[in-house]
Amino acid sequence: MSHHLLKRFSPRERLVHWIHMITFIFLTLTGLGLYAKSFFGLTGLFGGVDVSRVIHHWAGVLFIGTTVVIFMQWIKDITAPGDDTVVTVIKGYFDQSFKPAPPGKFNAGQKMAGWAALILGLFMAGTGLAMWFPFQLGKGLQQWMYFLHNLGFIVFIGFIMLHAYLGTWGVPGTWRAMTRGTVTKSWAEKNHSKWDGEEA
Amino acid sequence: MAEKMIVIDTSKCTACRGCQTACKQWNNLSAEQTECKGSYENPPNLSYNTYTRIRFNEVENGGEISWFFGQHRCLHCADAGCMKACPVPSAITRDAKGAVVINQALCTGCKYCVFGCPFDVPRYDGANAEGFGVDKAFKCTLCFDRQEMGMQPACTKTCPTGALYFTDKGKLEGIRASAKDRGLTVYDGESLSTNVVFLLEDKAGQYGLPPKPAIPTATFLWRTVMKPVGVIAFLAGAVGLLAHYVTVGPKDADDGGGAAPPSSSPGEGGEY
Repeated sequence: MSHHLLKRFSPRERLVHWIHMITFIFLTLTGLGLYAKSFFGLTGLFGGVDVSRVIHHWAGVLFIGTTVVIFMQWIKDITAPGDDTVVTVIKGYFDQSFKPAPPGKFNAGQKMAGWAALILGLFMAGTGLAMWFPFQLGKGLQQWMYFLHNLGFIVFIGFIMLHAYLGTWGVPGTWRAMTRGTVTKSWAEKNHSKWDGEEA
Repeated sequence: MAEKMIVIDTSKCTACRGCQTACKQWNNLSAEQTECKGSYENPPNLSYNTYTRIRFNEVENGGEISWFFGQHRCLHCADAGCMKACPVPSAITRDAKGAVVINQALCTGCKYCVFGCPFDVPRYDGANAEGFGVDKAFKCTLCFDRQEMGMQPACTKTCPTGALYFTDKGKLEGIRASAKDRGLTVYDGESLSTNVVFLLEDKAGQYGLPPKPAIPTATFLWRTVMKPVGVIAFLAGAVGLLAHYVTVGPKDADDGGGAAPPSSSPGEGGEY
């Protein structure tokens, strides 16, 4: 049945994305535990607040690394020109009969997700490093770093929820691109008709 | 239990720094390296080892020198920025007498309180030059331990001029009235409602106090606004995605198509 499948992502690409995803989950859970009294119980998942902080710091370092690698590995597809726009892609998700201009490997929404992952990742890295070494910026500026790290997280988790939904239940058939690196031909025809994927 | 307060009558302060010494003695805080800045002010700042100090502000006015002595110490706010910023349950508490206290056994050394304080008070031990520290924050405790034994704080106990005294917070209005008669203004942190109150002869800024004391805007947004906003946004997002799935439905390649490949069913996300 392999003749029904197309290669979507290489093992290396998928491995980087998995590391990125797992560090994001760890950063979210440890970060919430370190954020406020009402979430403090989450630090118990990791063996206490001190371990949570160590995990948050070093998972953050790993996350910065994969943020850059993940953007570089898909930069060609993220920056590729396309006939569709974010607006038509979103419209397509709300109106099943609407047919946006056929996208290549990535549609306009996925390209924007690539940019969002880079920009939000670097934003969280910058504000996060300021929180790790809080006596470098001066008091007035440092106070805002805490707020911005918080704000960035809210935007990031919103984006990731949408990203996760579209990668699983929202667009059936996408998840296997992450687990096995392949997609079905009918999936590709429906979602990326201008992409000529190689047969698996 | 009635709330207590420390009153600092700057008109009576001679900057003898007895309060600094008594504080160090009671709290068993070692001396530290001083620094000559051309005035009597020493140590140069608060530290994990120095909970109070007298600021010496020399101001020249028409050839005359005025000296303003202001105590730099925790003001024990009723609405405390350090408590707002602290992410650890019970690590900073405010007791019935009004003492805002850091419990070092629970403190995790995150330093949020250092940046949440409008009066630049909490100090972190761990960033000292030698690289040693216990990774905790420290500040004045309003001598809650002495109070529990029926004693007044070390600083008020030792003050020889009566500039510092310890009394019931309920007496604030009476003090306000008598201060007005003497031409002094009362500085009680405005909306923060501090349990350390200054009687000032001049503008607050001359004593190193912020003229408009308030929890820093960034800290307020971070702690008070962003948490409910984040929780609501998260829940709204989850509900929105579920609503999309149920109403519009997933974008399924095999919907209505007769050419579903055999691999489609078990391997596809929609079935998970």
